[in-house]
Amino acid sequence: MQNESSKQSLGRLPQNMNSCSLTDEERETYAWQMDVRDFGETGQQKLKRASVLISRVGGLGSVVAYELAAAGIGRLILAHAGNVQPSDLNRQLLMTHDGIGKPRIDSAVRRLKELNPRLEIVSIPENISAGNADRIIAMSDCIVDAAPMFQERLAMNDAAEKQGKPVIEAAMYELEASLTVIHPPRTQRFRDLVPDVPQGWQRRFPVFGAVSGTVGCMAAMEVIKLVAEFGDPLLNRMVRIDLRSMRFDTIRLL
Amino acid sequence: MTNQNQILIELTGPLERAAGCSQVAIPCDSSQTLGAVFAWLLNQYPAAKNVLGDSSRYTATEGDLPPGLLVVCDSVSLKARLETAVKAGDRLTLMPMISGG
Repeated sequence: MQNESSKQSLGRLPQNMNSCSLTDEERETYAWQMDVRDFGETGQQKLKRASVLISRVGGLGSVVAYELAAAGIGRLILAHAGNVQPSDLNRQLLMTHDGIGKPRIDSAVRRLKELNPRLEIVSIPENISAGNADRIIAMSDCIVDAAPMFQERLAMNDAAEKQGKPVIEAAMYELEASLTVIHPPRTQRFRDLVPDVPQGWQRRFPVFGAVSGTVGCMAAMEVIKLVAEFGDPLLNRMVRIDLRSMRFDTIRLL
Repeated sequence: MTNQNQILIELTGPLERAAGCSQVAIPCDSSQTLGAVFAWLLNQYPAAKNVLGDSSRYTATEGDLPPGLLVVCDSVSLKARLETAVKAGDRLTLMPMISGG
């Protein structure tokens, strides 16, 4: 059964469905996923006309971006500063060895375009901050938070709340990961969970790419469900994953 | 299975790493507060200070939990405060929010 709350429209998508009709090539490319129950060609059109912001395309965000590019999302807005470093390459799957020392965002765009040349990409070589969050979030319908610093997550959620846009909150640490959807007033605010920067969180965290990739795929699925309006997004629920023991728990957020 | 004279606490993420263990049993004959539980943890596992903060925080009889620390009981995240009562037989998960990307 689908939650009523999950059926609410994102409300900011273009209304002209004709402009998002599928080409024959797109129908061929997405034929297998259009067989998914409750998705179909209408769902594919909704993906095509959606703009999704991904805050950082590192270990987690790169997998979200790749899955959404594969699924036929219309436009990705990618925000990530800095150049590729050797230590990125254990997990940041849009970066390659020959990109070391070059802007991460350039590697990300190149890899995504190789997969889906129809994809529109807005590349922003900045990380989200209180200073740019309003401007960047205004370009999107839906946001994926994959930033490694709570300062960025707080700034982005504050701006997204003001603009009424849903945020898929995905995070990992060591062999653990968590995933939820924040969309006040349908859900709690992110600041209800994290009022301020928690003590002890450090920029460098233990990580296998397979862990960030696991939760990245799940976050991409949450985007697809929200945009195409099917299934039950993780509203007021958080999935906690422990890949050390292969335990998946769903926690109700009051 | 939880012993009825103890509170079973699961530690996750950075708190598990700081304490060096994933599960602890706190002796408890009756009810006590979450603040007292945290003070006990800090006494037994001083490195947990990295996540829970200084023990002086828990001398107060009431107040907010450290930011970003979820207390989960029976798969529900509680609206918990230092003065929230817990009792022998309870099983709690202390889950610091994480931000790795």
